[in-house]
Amino acid sequence: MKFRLQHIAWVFVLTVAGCLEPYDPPSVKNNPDFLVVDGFVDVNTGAAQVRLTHTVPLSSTALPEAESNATVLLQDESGNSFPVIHNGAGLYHSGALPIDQTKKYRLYIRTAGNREYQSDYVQFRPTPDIDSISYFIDEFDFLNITVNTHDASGNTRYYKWHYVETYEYKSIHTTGYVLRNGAVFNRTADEFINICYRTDPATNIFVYSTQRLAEDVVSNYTLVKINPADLKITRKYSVLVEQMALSVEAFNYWSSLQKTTENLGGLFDPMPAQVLGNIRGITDPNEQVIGYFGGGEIKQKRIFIRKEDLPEQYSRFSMMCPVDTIDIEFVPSLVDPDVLIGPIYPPGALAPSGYTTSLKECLDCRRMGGGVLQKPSFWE
Amino acid sequence: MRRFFTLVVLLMALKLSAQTVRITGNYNGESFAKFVDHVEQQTNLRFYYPAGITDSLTVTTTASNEKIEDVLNRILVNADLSFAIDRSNNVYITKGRKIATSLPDDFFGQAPITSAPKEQFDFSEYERQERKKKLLETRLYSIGNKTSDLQGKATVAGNVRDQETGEPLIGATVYIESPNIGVATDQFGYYSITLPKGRHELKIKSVGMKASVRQIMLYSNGKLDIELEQDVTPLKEVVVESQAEARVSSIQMGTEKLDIAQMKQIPLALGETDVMKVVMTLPGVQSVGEGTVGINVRGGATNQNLILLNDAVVYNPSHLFGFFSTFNPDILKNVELYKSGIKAEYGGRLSSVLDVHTREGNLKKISGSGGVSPVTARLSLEGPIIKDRTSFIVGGRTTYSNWLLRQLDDPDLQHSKASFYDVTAGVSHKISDKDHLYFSSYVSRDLFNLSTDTTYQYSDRNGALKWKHIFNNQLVGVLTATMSNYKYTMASERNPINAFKMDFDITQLNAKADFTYFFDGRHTFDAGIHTVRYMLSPGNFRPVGTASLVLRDVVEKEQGQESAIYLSDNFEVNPRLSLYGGLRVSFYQFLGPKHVAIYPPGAARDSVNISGEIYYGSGKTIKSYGGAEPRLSLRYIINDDLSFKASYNKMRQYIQMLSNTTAITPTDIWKLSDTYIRPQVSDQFSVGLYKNIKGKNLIETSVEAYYKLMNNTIDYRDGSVLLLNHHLETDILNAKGVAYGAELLVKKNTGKVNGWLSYTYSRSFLRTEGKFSAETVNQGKRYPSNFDKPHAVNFIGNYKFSRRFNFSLNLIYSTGRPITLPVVKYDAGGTTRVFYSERNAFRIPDYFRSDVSINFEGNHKVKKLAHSSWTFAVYNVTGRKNAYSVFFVSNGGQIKGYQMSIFAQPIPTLTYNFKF
Repeated sequence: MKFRLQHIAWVFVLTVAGCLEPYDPPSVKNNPDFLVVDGFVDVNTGAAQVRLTHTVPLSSTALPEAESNATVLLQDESGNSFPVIHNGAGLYHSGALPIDQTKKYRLYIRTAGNREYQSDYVQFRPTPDIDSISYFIDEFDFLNITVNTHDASGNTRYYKWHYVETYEYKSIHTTGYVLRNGAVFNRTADEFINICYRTDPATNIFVYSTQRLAEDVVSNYTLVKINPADLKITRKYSVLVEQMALSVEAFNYWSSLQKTTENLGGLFDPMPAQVLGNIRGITDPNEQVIGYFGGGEIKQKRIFIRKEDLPEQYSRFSMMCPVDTIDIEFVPSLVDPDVLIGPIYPPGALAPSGYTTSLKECLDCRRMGGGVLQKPSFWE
Repeated sequence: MRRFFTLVVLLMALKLSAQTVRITGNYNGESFAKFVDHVEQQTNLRFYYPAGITDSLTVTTTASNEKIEDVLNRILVNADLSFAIDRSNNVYITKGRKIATSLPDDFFGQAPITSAPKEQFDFSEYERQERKKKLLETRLYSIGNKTSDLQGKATVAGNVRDQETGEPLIGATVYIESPNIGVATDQFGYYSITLPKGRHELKIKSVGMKASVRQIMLYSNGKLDIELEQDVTPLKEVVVESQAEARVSSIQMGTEKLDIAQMKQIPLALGETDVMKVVMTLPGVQSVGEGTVGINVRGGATNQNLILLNDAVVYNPSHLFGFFSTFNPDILKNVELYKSGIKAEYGGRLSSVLDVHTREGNLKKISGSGGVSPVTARLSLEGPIIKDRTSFIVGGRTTYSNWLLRQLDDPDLQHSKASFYDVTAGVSHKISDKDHLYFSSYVSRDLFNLSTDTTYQYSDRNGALKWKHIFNNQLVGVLTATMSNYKYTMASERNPINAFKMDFDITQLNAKADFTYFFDGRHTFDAGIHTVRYMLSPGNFRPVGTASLVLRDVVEKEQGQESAIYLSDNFEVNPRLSLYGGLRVSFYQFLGPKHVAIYPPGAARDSVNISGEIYYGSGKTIKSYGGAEPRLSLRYIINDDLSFKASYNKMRQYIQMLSNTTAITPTDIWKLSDTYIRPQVSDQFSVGLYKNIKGKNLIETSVEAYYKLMNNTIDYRDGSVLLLNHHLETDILNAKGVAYGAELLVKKNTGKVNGWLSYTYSRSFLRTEGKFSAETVNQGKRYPSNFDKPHAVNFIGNYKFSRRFNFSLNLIYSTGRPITLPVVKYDAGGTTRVFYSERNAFRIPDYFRSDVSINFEGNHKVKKLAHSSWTFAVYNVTGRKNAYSVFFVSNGGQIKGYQMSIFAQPIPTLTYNFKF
């Protein structure tokens, strides 16, 4: 259940000649600098991972400045401490720690500049298995990939998902030939550059609560929406969904963050606000610290969707790829060895008069969609 | 008067010919005027005679089913007076026997009166009207029992009506010039004026009507009903002047009165006259943006306005996400907005009272009007049920936006629906001269959904029944009962597992008795008793269908009772100084049945801290609040063209609307004051100077300044949740507000070029400081409210090329409203996110808009089957992309800022209006 009033507003706004334009915020004098803590404990592996960075002015293109060489400890309620070691660039890792799920944990940080911070105590909760990942095509022809899960005990209630998409795609034209030292050779099986794999993690936050339902059931919660014209579903598509149970506090944090950073500005949207997590300053209790320390059990499930699984003529991806010809006398001097589609033989001739070619992004799948040629290990 | 006669008048034949009119009666030394009054009331005869000629005439005669001619002959023979009766049953009394030669030219026109051919009186309709008016104006009315004692004062009272439709005229001024004494008619068209006994020339002026005068001889308290003629060509000089004078001389300040005729000249988007949009062009009134009807008056929140339609409260005055207001322009009469100097009879909201009146309907004949614009169509009908006694009016409006949406390319839009309708109806019935009944009712409904996701429906319904009783010339009482209901439903049935419906519902029942006592020429007392019962169902969330796993969630109902008594005196100390003092005492109870959460002392109001709850049984008082609300005003006339006014108001508000979005939305909820959420209270001080610059055309200028303190206004915790919240006190904060500003207005109502220019400086701040950081906003510092827009300049201009062509121009400027912007970004989980500034630390770009419109009226023949007009308007001529809101999204790891504009290009509309 989502109250998506902003959508209605947009629709109406567009109807009556509304418009959206890019907006540059006024430059802010003396940009505030806040510490950003991103901490997570994976209960399955017992590994704690913490990233300490600083905020960046909105207009800046600089990378976030790392907070290095801090002392970071994972502390349980009974007073046990486990160090989380700096690995460089503001990243801190622990080995496999003996996490006791009945205990609460918190994060303690002392920066190199001797400022102290700590998080609230956090309970890591067990996560139910994902029942299934399914998909359907909605009335606007978008492919919706959804997650289904449930907890018979009814204890989970708050869920968070993350996903990683991987898809296989093919360039529009295939170069069957390669140029080596001015000579044309047939490509060997491992030399083809027409099939690529691209992997992208989700950048948005997905949280949902079954608090208003009689049973702890998540039914067809849409995680991914794919346009039928998208390159993703031209051959084979896969998505790995990670599910994690949240505490109420964590749910409130992630859902506020989602609302204030992903979903604002409509006529009927809530007004934005500062979203602060569960990290507090000890040295200066009034210091605002951004970020959240959490953890839990991650459950995963992957599905594959082939083009053939979808209705015929569903995929509407298209690209302009005109074919041109290179006369044979120019072929040896080509700078780029990967542009030859195939030879052209004049009637009755035994030697080609030239080679067909096309735009580079129509020939090399890496240029076309930013993927890699290496097939992922999990690929079926 | 009538009771002094024991007389029955018989109208003997139906054929309307004077020769057949017979009367029966016994007159014993009555004045001739009384005799005439009586005969006129009982027959269809109309008497016309110059003032003064019958002053010394008394009537002593007995008639028993006698012809009127015979009776008149007997009465007039000794007074050297003659009479003639024409075919239309007009009786003309003239001095001297030789009628034809002794008449003044302008009295009977060119036609000499003889008893000969009646055809000579066959004037055209227009001439006849003019003649009749002139006769009404020159005739001397004697008021009260004729006595020789002309010491002291007496009161004359009555109704001022539209001669053509019989409708009462609100706010018409009835006055004499020497000494300068004047009153305005009330919402029923009733006036009561106390004057020294003797001869007066009573002047009557009303917007849209031709000014008129009545010659009266005031003997003692009496009645005088006055009918005014419509001014066929609007905005004739003399008409609006009366209002202008009122601005300087009336005690009322901080008040804007708008007549529907004025509103219709202002160009508007989407081709329809919209009360709320016009109100937004007035000084001191602002809104957060274009797509909303929520108004912010003098730095107050949108829920602090009392919006009344014929005395019944309107909860949601918007249609189609706020692009239209719910008031149908065809049946509106006028709108009054009180920003300060609010009288004691009004209460329950902090910032303003917007009092909207519909017409009562034509008492004489059936008529109608309507209009067609690109988005809406409307039609209204009115007329008599019993001629001159009972009238009805009904108006409806709907939209064809569904059809429009389907014509669009975007599949998202094609699957969307948006529709609304509203119907307003009224019946007015005159039981007797002293008793009048009014009924009005209003129903509006909106329905929309986007694609197939969630459907929203809301409806506002209200009804009002009023009984006005005139006890005597000085005392008038009105009993009013009203009912208002607002509810909305949202539903989603797309996924059977999550299919749900959610309802919100609020009903209020009002009963009140108001009395006005016109004590003498100097004191007018008002008193009354009001009570309101609120019944509120804050949320009922339930499953739909058998597959739905949705858990039923019902937020406990709330009920409350708000009562008030008031007494006020409008005291005319001397012609220069006028004082108004009123005291309203209000009392509110939050009533059971209800469970109330308990928070341990010293703990933050957070749901995790709830330590228990107390149950209060049905009708038990859970919490009560109340207090005095003094209302004081002063007016001092420095000279004829200049006056000074000051006022102080205290207001209390026991019901608030909760909304943590920028604009009013259909899912905003109302909340009664309870144990934790205290009533809002405000104190407003204001002063003003009013100056008229007389010249060929009168220019009125004014400057008003105000300072307002507000307590317990509503503020929200960051990320507050309002829907289906069982303990709203955990998300709502009580804030202290302060607002101050000044409003300058220069207005020219007459001449070829007319309009107004206003400048408003206004600030509005909040301070929210709780015991805990979560209950504190911006570290307890004072911060600008969402509608703090310091500078606003509005220009509304009209140029009349001719009586049929009219060009209008609006120029609107205001400072951008405050917003919260991201200040820094950071990386979390591989995605860039933003961190916001303190609340309302920035502003969106300034707002500027210009609109033009051309109005073309059909020809001005008075007698025509139907009158029509065309309006061509262009909204936002320059196409300036005014930012409605600014927002940032993190998409694919990038932060992008956008500004959204609503009317980002010129919007032309063509509207056809008709009247029959």
